[in-house]
Parts: sequence; structure tokens; C-alpha cells
Amino acid sequence: MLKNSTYKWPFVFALLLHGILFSFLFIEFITYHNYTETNKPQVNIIKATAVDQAQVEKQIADIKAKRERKHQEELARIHRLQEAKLAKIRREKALQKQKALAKVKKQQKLKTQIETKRREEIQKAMQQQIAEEKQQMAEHDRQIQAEIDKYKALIIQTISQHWIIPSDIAKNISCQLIVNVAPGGEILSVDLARSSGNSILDRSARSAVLKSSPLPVPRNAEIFDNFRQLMLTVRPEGIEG
Amino acid sequence: MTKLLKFIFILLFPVNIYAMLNLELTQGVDKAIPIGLVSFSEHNDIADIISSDLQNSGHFRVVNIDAPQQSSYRVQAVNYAYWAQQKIDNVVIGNTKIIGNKYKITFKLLDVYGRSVLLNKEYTIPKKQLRALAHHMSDSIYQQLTGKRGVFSTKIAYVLVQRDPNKPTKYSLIVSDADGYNSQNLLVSSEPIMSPTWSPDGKNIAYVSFENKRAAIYSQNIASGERKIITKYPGINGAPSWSPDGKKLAVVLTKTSYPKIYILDLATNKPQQVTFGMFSDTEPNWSPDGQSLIFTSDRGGAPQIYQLDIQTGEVQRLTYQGDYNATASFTPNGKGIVILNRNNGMFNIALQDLTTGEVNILTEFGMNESPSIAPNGSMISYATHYGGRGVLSEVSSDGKVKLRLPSQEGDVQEPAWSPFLD
Repeated sequence: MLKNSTYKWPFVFALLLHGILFSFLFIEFITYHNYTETNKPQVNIIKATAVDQAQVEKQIADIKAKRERKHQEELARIHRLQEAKLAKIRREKALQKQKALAKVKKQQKLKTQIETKRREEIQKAMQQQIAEEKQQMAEHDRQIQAEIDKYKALIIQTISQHWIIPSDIAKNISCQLIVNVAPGGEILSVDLARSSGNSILDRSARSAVLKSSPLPVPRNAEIFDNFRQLMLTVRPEGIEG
Repeated sequence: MTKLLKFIFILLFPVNIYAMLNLELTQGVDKAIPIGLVSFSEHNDIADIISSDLQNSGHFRVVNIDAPQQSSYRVQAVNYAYWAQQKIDNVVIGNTKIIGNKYKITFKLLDVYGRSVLLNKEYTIPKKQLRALAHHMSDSIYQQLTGKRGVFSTKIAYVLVQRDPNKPTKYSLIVSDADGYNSQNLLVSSEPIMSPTWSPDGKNIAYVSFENKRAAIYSQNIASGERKIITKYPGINGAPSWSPDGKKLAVVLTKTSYPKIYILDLATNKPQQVTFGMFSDTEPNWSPDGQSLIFTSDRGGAPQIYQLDIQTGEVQRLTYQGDYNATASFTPNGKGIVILNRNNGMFNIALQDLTTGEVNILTEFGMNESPSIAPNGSMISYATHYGGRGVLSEVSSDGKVKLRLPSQEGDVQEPAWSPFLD
């Protein structure tokens, strides 16, 4: 859930960028193609006329042959030239294409770098925000916990003042009481969750709790919720001055 | 986003947020338990006797209430909220009806905060047994609320010395209730009576009497008054102490030139010397297990307390604090000894822990003597000087409660607390 929302926009952006880059490539290729069409090499064609039939014919034939040869040579030469030119053009074209590709690649790389950097920054900012929020929450929790601890101490102090420790009671026994508290601290009920095995200790503990009503509890309703039900362990260890 | 995180947080750590809050109570106060006592009847003072029993034990703070007569003894009519508001833990309600020359008495002990009935009893007794019943009821309440056996029905024996310039001095051996009331003479004599001590069953008291112009140890049955001589050797016949099984008596005799401890088999009356040497040994007292005796001896110079292992004859010194310690007796659990401790000329009652050696001085003013501990170990009776005469006093084992008990005109000497009697 968290991830989706974080990378959604960068992702869309990256996709768009790729599309644009690809389209650049396509357009450049077409322009180049047009250029090659217009620069096609022009070839001059020579026309011959006959004079002496036989000789001429021969001559003609010679000439023809010569011409033909020449022509052929010329053609071949032209063809070679043409070929060379074409090859050169092809090489240039290839080079250009390569260059363009390299450029695109470079641009792409740059874009990716920028994108990565941006993404990292966003991520970093988000992490920072999360950390801040966490810290705020922790601070809030700490404050709540401090408040809870304060009232726990107050409650224990209050009950201690009312708890008459039975004389000569064993120090290694304990009982547990569940105390239900209403907002304002009024004690609704005290139930013996676990007996100490000594009814005198159990009774003294329950009396002490009920005598302490109303208990000091937080006014803040949210914090008070923690105090609705208390598990009180009663273990006789000492006498308060 | 914050809400979302919070939600995740709650999902991950639900325990932290909504679990039952755990608290631990380990410290309390050392206070007397408040107990309400609704007057029982206009016909007698039973509620007053219970009230002073409980109050004087030091364990209770009694709040006496004159409640409307008609509804006072009905549990249904008890206003728990009222008592709870007063922070009173327990309430005793009762009622007395007169049937001929008898009382029909009902009483209930209520737990105010638990809203429950802890005791519910009914008695029909002759009118003259009212005081005994009141003490019995106090014992029941005490046991129910402290878990320990009460000593309100036990007795104290003591010697009362009444001096009159115009008449011979009168010595009386008296047994009274533990609160000092209801005293009865066991023996009256014009010669000194000393060192009363109870048999473990509480039926007999042994004492020293000079009635034949010289010391002899007697044993007397309390109910019948019947008595017999245990020892009448030349010289000292003193400080009897009953063994826990009741079959032997430790005594002090001067068969040699020094007072020495002897153990006397009551079946044969034959004494056997158990301490030796050229110094005075006196005031023997049995350990609860019957294996040893503690006694006072000047073998180290000033009187101090020593312990004798009866089996081996080995003797070891127990007291070191103060320049003088005497009149020692074991606490009922055998873990401590009650002593008369002298320090800088002040005689005070003290409790020494035998494990730690710690000595706790319980009295003040330095004119105290003859400590004797109650069978539940909660109180110690002793004789003290007040208003120019010897009076019977009690102090709690922690030194917090001190009482002067009523007694007739005269000097009270050597109180001895009885064992449990029922």
C-alpha cells in the first residue's frame, strides 16, 4: 500500500520519458532517409552516329567495342565510385546512427541518473517524514506512559496508606485482585483473582482497595481507559513509616 | 499517514495499549484494625469487656456505637455503606436476651468491605459466666481477624503483698483473668509466697511458700485447692519450672553450698543435679522442646543467662548486652527469650532474638521485674512500680502497647501468665 503510492508518480514519469525518447529515435531516422533519396548520383549517357559502313562498321564496331569497353569501364568505374560513395554514405549513416544512439543512450542514462537521484531524494524525504512521525508518536506514547506511571504510583501510594498489614504475616505469600474502576476513580468492584491461601491477607488487601475509593485516576478519558481494570498483586514486604 | 501508522502500531502491539494495568502493592501501614462494636444490650457490659479486650491487645482500634436497640443485631439492618464511609473494616453486632437467670447472647462479626458474615454465634450462659463468655468472644474475633489465638481467656497468677503497720504483712497468691479482673485468692499467708509457675495443662500452680518459716515448694490444684509439698530440703527450695510435658519440675536447691539447678521427676520426687560448680545458678526455665534449660548464673561475674543442654550437660552463655540479665523465659516459639535486663542501673523487660542476638528493650523507667510471656507470644506481663506501689502491667512483644492492670491495694509481685486453658 505504502510502496504503491510512493512510486506511482515516478513510475508513470519514467514510462512517459521512455516513450518520448523512443519517438525521437524514430523521427531522426525518417529525416535521414529523405536525404538519401535526393542525392542519388546522375549518370551521363553518350549517343554515337555511323560513317563508313564496313570500316565504319568495323570502326564502329571497334569504337563500339572500345566505347562499349570504355563505357563498361566507365560504368564499372562509376559503379565503383557509386559503390564507394554509397559505402561511404552507409558508413556515415551508420556512424551517425551510432552517434545518435549513443547520444540517446547518454541522454537516457542522464535521465535515469536524475530520476534515480530524484527518487532517492523522495524516498529519503519520505523516510525522514516517517521517522519524524514515528518519533512524534513515540514522544506521544512516552508522554502517555509517563502519565500512566504517575497515576500508577499515586494509586499504589493511596492503597498503601490504607493497607493495614496483618501482623506476623508470611512475607512470601501474595494474592491478586482485579479492580474495576469507573471514570473519576470510584471503585466498582474488587474480585479475588488469586487467593494467597491466607484469608486474612486476602481480606486486608480487599479492604485496603475499597477504602481507597475513589482512586486517583487521570482525567483524560483516553489515558483513563488504561485504568478501567487493574490487576493488583499484593505482597506483604514492608511497613511504611 | 499518521493514523495509518498508528493503526499498524496498534495491530502490532495491542497488549501495550489495552491490557489490564498491572500494579504491585508491597508496602502497608502498621496500624490497629478499626472495628465497630454496636452495644449488645442494656442488661450487661459484655460489649464493654470485648471492647477493652480488643483495644488493649493493640491490634484493634475499637469504635463503640450506641445503635438503635431494635435493629442493631440484625444483619439485614447493617448499613455497610455507613461503616465503609467511616473506614471501619469490621463490625460486631449482638443481642442479649434474659431467660430466667440466664443470658441468651448472639453475636456476629461482619466484614464491612466484603459484606459478609465472618462469625455468627449464639450462647446461653448463667449470668455469672458473662465475663468468661465475653473473653471467649474476644478470642474468637481476635483469631478470626489476626489468624492468631487470643489470650483473653487465659489467666495470670501473681503474689500480692499487703503491708499494714498495725497488722502482720499479708501475702496472697492470686489468679485473675488476663485483663486483671475476676481475681481469686488461691492462698493467703502471713509468710512470703514466691515464684508461682503454671503446669503446662494450666490445672496446677507450683510456688514457694515460707508458711512453715522456711522455704518449701508446693503444687496446688486450682480447681480443688488441693495441694502437696514437692520439696522441702534445707536451705533454698526455689524457682520451680514445669517441663513442657508436665512430668518434671526444674528447681533450685542448695544441697551443696551453692544454689544449683536440679530436675525433679514428679513421679518419684527425686531431684537430680544438672548444673555444677562454685557459683550460683537459679531461675531455670524449660525450652519448648524440653531439651534444654536456660537459667541465671553469676559464673561469669555478674548474673547472665546461660543455656544448659540437658542431654550433654553443655552450658553456653546467651546474654551479653547489659551488665546484668536475669529471670529469663523462652518465647512460645522458642526463638527468643524474655529477660530482665539491667543497664546503667535501669531494670527493663527485654526480648532477645536467639538467632540474631538482637535485644529489644520493651519497657522504660527502669523499675520493672518478673517478665512472663503470654502463650501466644503477643504480650508480656510484668511487675512495675507506679504510684509508690508494685502494679501488674503488660507490654506487647513489639513494645508498642503498654497497660496497667487493675489489682487490689498492695504490691504486685512475680506475675506468671498461664498457658492456654481450653
